[in-house]
Amino acid sequence: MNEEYVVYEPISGSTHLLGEVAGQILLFLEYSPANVRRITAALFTQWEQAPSSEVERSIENVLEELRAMHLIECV
Amino acid sequence: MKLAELSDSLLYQKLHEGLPLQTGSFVVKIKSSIPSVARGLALLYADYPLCSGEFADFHVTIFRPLNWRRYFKSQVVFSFEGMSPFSPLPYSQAFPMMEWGLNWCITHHAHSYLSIHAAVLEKNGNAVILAAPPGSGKSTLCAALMARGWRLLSDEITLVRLSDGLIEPVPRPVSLKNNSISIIQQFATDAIMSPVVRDTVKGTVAHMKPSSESVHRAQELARAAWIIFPKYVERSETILNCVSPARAMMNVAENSFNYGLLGQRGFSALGRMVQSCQSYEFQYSSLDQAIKTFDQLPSPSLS
Repeated sequence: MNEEYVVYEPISGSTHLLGEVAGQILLFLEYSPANVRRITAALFTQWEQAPSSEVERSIENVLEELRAMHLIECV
Repeated sequence: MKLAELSDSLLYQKLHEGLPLQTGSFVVKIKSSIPSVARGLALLYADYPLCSGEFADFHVTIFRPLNWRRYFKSQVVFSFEGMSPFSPLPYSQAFPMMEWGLNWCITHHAHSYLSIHAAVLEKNGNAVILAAPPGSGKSTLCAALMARGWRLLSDEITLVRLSDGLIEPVPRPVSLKNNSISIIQQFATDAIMSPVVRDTVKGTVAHMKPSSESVHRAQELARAAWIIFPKYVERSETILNCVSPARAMMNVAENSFNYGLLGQRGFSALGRMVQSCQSYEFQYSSLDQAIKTFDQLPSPSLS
């Protein structure tokens, strides 16, 4: 939905409003699990952005937020 | 047969046995011997059909309890299927209590719908949903739109069918509070209003009779075209701003009675509806300007 996403988490029944990055990560993970390196690489490619440690840290923060919302699982 | 066709004595007799009133797709059987309830029904529900069968979705009774308190301060109780979901209220609040109780019956039992705390009206086949917390001017706007030809589907509860996303009308009197009462009395001088009841939990309240067209067409479903989040701001200009579907969905979910209860089905129904609508935040102070804006909302096929 435009640059924001609404997702439903069936275990808790919670609905979350997500920003663009979080939404793109979920869409990427919808097809297969991936490690952090693959996720960041995919986003850099999608954004046509050169890798940078600052952006990587921001992506990791979003991943942590998604994990806290039980929308992704870290194994 | 319509309620207006009953004589006063027959209305009291029916209310003694249980008056089977058709409100949208619901049949409610109302029992009461309280004169203000009978007068309110005669005034505001005159156009409503009465049902002949035994079946009713809801059996309610509004009565004065025969306990010792009546010697000090007379009270009224709303009873649903023999239980009383609310604390008693002062006797003068019998009619508003019936209205609030009927809303409760629907929001607590009609779960084949996504039920949203929102007014909904229709014009030219397109429904507009007015979703906002209390005090936003939702009912005032709803009453004004109805007075200017929009068909009332509901003032309080928007019922979205889970099966096909259509909105099922439950037109009932529009609940006006405090300053809204005089504003609407001045705006729609021919509006039929119940007597004012003061000092309720919602302040001073009065109910406005739904337009006859709204009642006659209560079986006609509608599809949502617009979701509006209205806000009355004194002396403000009329401002209409687009809201993203994601934000609209979260706002409507927060204003829903049973979204959490419905789980995935509620999410899917709401998502489909929001994606098929245009959503706006709407700030207003002038009802005339507000109605002009509503009459010019972009047609869903053009947007």
